[in-house]
Amino acid sequence: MSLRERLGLRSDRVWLALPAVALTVIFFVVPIILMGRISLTEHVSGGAYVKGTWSWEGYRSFLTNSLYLKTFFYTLWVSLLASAVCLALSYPLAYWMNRARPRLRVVLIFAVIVPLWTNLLVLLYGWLIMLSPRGVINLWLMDSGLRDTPMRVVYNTSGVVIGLVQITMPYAVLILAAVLAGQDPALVEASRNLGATRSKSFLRVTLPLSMPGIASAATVVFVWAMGEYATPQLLGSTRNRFVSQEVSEQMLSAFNWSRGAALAITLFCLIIVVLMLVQAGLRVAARRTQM
Amino acid sequence: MNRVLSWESLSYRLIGGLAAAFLLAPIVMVVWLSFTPSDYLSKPSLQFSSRWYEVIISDERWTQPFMHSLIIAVMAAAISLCLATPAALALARAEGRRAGGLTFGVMVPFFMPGLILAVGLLMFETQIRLAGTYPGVALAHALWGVPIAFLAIRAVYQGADYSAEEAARVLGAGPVTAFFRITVPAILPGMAVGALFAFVISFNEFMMALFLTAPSNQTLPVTIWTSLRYEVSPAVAAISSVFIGLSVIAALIGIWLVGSRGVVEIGGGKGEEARA
Repeated sequence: MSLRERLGLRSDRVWLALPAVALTVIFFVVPIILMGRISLTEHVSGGAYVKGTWSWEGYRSFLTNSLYLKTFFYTLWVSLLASAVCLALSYPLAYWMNRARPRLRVVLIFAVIVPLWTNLLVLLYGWLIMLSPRGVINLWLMDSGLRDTPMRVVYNTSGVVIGLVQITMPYAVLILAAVLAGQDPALVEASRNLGATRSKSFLRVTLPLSMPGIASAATVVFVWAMGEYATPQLLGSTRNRFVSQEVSEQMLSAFNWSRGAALAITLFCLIIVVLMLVQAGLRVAARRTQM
Repeated sequence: MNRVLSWESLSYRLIGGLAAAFLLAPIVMVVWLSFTPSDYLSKPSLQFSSRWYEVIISDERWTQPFMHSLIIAVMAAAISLCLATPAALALARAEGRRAGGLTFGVMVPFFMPGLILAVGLLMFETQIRLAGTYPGVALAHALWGVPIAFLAIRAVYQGADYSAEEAARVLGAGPVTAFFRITVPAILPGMAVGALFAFVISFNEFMMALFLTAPSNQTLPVTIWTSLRYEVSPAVAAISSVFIGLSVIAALIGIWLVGSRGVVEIGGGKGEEARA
């Protein structure tokens, strides 16, 4: 027995993690199971759901309704669009953050942390007062005679994309910056010494090396967007809705918990599928780079 | 080294600058407009008045939810710290399948949208009569507080010198003494920044609070939400600026505690776990 073992230094203390895992089990796993069960109950008007009953009605009622299916496709499409815009803006900022001199870097990090820690409703409200038809930018444009009619930027898909990019970008930047900071600068140097131009060494060395970071940032952003409620509610149109808006309506106003749970479970499964696809993609990519 | 700007260095500065400006635009606008002297929101002007701040600090409609938010955020931060500290210490240097599984168990709620958590929690907490109570909301917020505090403490602990702990034990300190004299001081910045992150997340959280609070413990974001839909008085801009002010203070404290690199590492840790 080694000294370390005798002193109990190598002893297994992973059980110390159990209280934290218990929180996940009690307040995440159990509620999800309960949600699954309630999604399979019958609903009668006047109550949220009928205990002890079994019924597919919650799922059938929206899977056979093209309006609800449209909601799912709209959520998926806008989340993809927002993730793409978010990454296209986040990557250069994260890249800059890593190369900037210390003082500028602190300023840039500050510019990312403050919106990260500002309430998302405040951020969305800021965009609303800037971009709404009677908002600051439209008033400026019309007063200066550049436009006669207000621009329609919010209360439609572009409004939702702007809102989603705003609230998800700080996380994406931090994830990418953390990955870029972990890259070995010697690799870029080596490629430059071997005659690659700056742009070539970026495209052939830096960018491929940051692919895992890009993938995980994209996943986090996409999953977040898929579940967003406040953004489409405040900046979106009333015609094209997100799944979360339907879920909230069923839970809080229509009081049909069976259907609300069925919608939420479907969204949850969709998210799990996305996460698993990304994991599988990364595993394939990792295997290919090893060869 | 040549100082000629290549297209590459120019383009990332340009797009990165645009991205930063985009991120800060609504913040600047809200703060600017909150100082308006007029009765309604219009264009920003160069006239400033603290009128709307006086309105919000004297109005119970805003001060009470502020207190509720504060109580819930303190509770959530405390719960997060108590659960995340032992978990981080246990898993920081552990390897293998079991440790990986436990880490996943700690982290997984972090990747779930608030809506999914909120719907499940409303159903669950209604059954056990926890919905509408302070602990009910605080425990829900801890689902995000624990993972972020875990990342913070783990990052600091991994950077700390492990041999100091061993040295103390070899020199005859008991496990308890070694823990409080060596380990705790070493991870203190991580615990502080973890508690700060958890507090800020809970203070800002809106979705679960919307589902789980009752009028008697409604939090400030929920109050903002209802007033955003029914009124557009500059009072909302003033209360929003309070949020922005708190976020600036929290960012300063965070950078002071673990440095700007530390903040990136912890904030970016979410991505690392997404890959694991």
